[in-house]
Amino acid sequence: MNTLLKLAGTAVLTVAASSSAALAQNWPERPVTMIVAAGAGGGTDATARLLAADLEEIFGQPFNVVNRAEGGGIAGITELANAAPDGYTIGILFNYAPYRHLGMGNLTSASYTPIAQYNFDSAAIHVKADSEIQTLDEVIAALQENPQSLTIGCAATCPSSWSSAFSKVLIDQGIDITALRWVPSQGAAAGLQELVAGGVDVLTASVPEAASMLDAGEIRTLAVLSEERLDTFPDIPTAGEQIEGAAPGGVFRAVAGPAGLPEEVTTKLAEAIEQIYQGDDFQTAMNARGFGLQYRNSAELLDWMLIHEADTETVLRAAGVIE
Amino acid sequence: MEVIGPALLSLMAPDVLLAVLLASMFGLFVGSVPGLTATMAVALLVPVTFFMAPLAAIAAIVSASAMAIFAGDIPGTLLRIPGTPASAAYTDAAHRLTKQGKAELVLGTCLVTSALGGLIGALVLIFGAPAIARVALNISAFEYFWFVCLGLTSAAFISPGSPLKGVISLLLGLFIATVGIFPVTGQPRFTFGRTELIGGVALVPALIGMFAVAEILRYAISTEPAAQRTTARIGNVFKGLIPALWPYKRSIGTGVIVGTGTGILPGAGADIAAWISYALARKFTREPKKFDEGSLEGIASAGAANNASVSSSYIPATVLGIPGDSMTAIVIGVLFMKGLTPGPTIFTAQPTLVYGIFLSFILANLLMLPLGYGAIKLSRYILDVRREILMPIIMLFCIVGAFAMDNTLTGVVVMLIFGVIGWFMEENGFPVAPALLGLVLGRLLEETFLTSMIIAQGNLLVFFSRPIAGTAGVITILVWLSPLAMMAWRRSRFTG
Amino acid sequence: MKVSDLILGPVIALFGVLVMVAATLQPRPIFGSGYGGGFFPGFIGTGLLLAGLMLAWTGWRSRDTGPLLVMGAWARSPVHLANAATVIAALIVYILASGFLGFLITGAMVTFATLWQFTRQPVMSLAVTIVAVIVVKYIFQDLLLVPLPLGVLSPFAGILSWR
Repeated sequence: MNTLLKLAGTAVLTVAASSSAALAQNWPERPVTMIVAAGAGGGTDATARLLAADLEEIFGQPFNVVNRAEGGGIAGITELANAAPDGYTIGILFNYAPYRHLGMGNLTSASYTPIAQYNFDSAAIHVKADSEIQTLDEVIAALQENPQSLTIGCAATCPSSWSSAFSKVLIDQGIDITALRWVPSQGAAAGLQELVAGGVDVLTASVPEAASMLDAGEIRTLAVLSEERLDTFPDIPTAGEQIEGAAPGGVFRAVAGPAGLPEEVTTKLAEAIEQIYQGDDFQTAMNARGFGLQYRNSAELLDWMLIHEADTETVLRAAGVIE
Repeated sequence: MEVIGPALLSLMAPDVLLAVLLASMFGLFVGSVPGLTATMAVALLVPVTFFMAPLAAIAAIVSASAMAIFAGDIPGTLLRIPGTPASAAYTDAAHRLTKQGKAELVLGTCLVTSALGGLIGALVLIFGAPAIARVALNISAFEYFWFVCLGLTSAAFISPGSPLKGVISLLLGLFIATVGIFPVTGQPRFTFGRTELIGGVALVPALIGMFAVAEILRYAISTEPAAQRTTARIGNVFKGLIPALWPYKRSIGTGVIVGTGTGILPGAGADIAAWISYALARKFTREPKKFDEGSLEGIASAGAANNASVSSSYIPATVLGIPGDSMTAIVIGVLFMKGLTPGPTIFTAQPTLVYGIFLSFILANLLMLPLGYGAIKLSRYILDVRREILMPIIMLFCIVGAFAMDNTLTGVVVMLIFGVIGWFMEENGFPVAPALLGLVLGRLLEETFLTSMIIAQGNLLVFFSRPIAGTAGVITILVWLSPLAMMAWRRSRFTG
Repeated sequence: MKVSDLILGPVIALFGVLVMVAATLQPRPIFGSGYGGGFFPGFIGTGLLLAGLMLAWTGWRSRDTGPLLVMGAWARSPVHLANAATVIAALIVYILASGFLGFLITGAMVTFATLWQFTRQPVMSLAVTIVAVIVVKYIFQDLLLVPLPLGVLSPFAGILSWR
């Protein structure tokens, strides 16, 4: 009973302590919620659980992963933006810029406190193994000749993060992307099925997502939209090797909090995540699943988020989504 | 097949066996609580599997999912509240027999046919996986579209009563499925600007509402004195089962085939398998009158189908890395997490592991017989609890289950609304089953149709241009036209 | 509560019209596809309109067989009306209050209210409520890691996690 009274007393005092700085200094005093806007068992979830386990070890408080997968993730990242900025709710942020233009909320870099980026997966262009197309140049040439000649899978709704990255390359090559035949699907796996079944000619998706089908010899990857070749797939050429100045693009994952997170909390978390990122265990686990490793600290991440928003706007404007 | 020996040995390791046993009991519990589904059982296991060896982790998931699909039948039979969506198709039929004092026979049927379906599905998995997966790769949006149409057709056969009211119920379900994100462009639709609606109306809370909340409401306003509870003890559920089921061997066979086939198709899972096999059993039964008054035939067929589909859904998942349903999507994630890439190479690189996983289906489905028997024995105590105490407790479980599906209160709101709608529909002779089927298949129907139209550039003939799609399309249209043809034939016979 | 097809038919047909109108208000198709979000709902709306009219027609043909609205026996029994109201009110209270009060308090409130209304035995209801809420909390929050809201009990998150 005594301990209970004591605890109740502490709680009252804690609530009474109005200064957020005082709170932040002792952070974390209770379990932290980590919002993951994706289903349990998926890629985003897996990386989040890796981080959560290590954060729990570092801070000595549970970091509870909460999956909020509905609506392709919009519900989860909206909840993250609206959470109380007390440091007890953080989450995984990924390509969020399109939602605003599709009429879902008003999420911008101002909605979040960037903490640290730990992953980047480049988009890639795949064809069926027995396709006549051999290189990315041939895809571009065919589309320049006749924009309706090929069906292009988005591996999600159109425009998706993958198709947007490819769109950027196409726009730079002077192709009107609204004239193309974009085909949506329910996620990357369904898109791969459609590619192999002959429903689409070209598919945009990341290399890790397509790894099983690549292994199976069912598909070929023409190009990956990255600066350099991937360590895990050194045989796949980059888009830049085939087309001068092809823009890299893809999906990032980062730890973020709601806007206005106390600076002490941000610093503590950023340091911890950098430490985890440098660790061998994390590097091995990420490589095993084929996830691209890329670290950006809080300031670099903010810069990247602004680039991401600008790129998204360019593509969606060319697509006619933004009038 | 020389790999079977070592695979069996690796499965017999103590840590694997312990994981299978614990996960089985967990699956039985989760499946039998209304509001907790098999998918949730698997999702909730994910954090735990992080600390397990690959085989133990996947074998645990396999056992939990198989057990949960069976256990969903228990509350469906005893309380008319299905434990998982896969049991919804035959909940009414099962409960009807319970009211006639045959709960023991129904639960025995569910248990035995579940294990049988799961075992046959597992054999198909072990001996046919790579070859079948190759065939499944030819399925594109066109084929899917026709399969979905055939699936919707079964709505017409599911429920007794007015066919027109069944169609209205189906249309309402299809409409509700359009709320959320438009699957082509990702724009929100019919969401009234609310973030909560962008994810659409979730199936599980809707199902809990239409069955559980509607049942609680019916109890709350029931003016008849509490029916004398059938105090028939649940004894040996296996007794007299074989003679009771033997006449239905054809329907059970159909159920296994439909279930195995549905499991192989990506995007279709145990619930769809159960709906379709139940509809087929009702359509082709030799005793149509008995079927609606209380017969084991549909229950046996659908009970076998849903467990068969759990087994066969691992074919595309392991061979090609393509998830057949939300459960195998999680399995693929766990495989990746363990540094294993699903695909043909996993068969050459890790044959012992892959066949160990396949054999764990056999183990789980054999284990289902004794464990399921125990679960049925325990569950009879539910019948001893007074209804006025049981119903509020079920309501509490439902609230938490509806919440836990997406960790949001929206689920509880959906549950309440669908509870009232479900109760009103039943009062007015509208069957709720077609609405749920429409909700399950609606998004798939729209997506496959629009994707096909985009690929075909609006040319409807392309829907018939591929061999499998063409065949499926012609069959679908023949099924749709058959009632008209029958009418014309009868008329010509009477007048001619 | 049995409502005549003569009423339900037109209501369903009207709903079909609403769906059709809502479908036409959907944004124009974008990004190279010729099909917008209103295409498929348009079909469903048409179907509902036709089915509703057919239901009204069948109701018209058999209009002499029943009244427009039949209420069940429960509608004249205050106890049963109160039962139904309690169930629905309990769910609404949970939806509105659980975010603020948390699961433990709200869950106990609604379970106790429903049990009391059904059984009329306050002491037994209270005992069952306490056991049920604690069991549900332990199974879901602590074993299955479902993030049930803590609400006003958040400061005690530490002692309320029983893992």
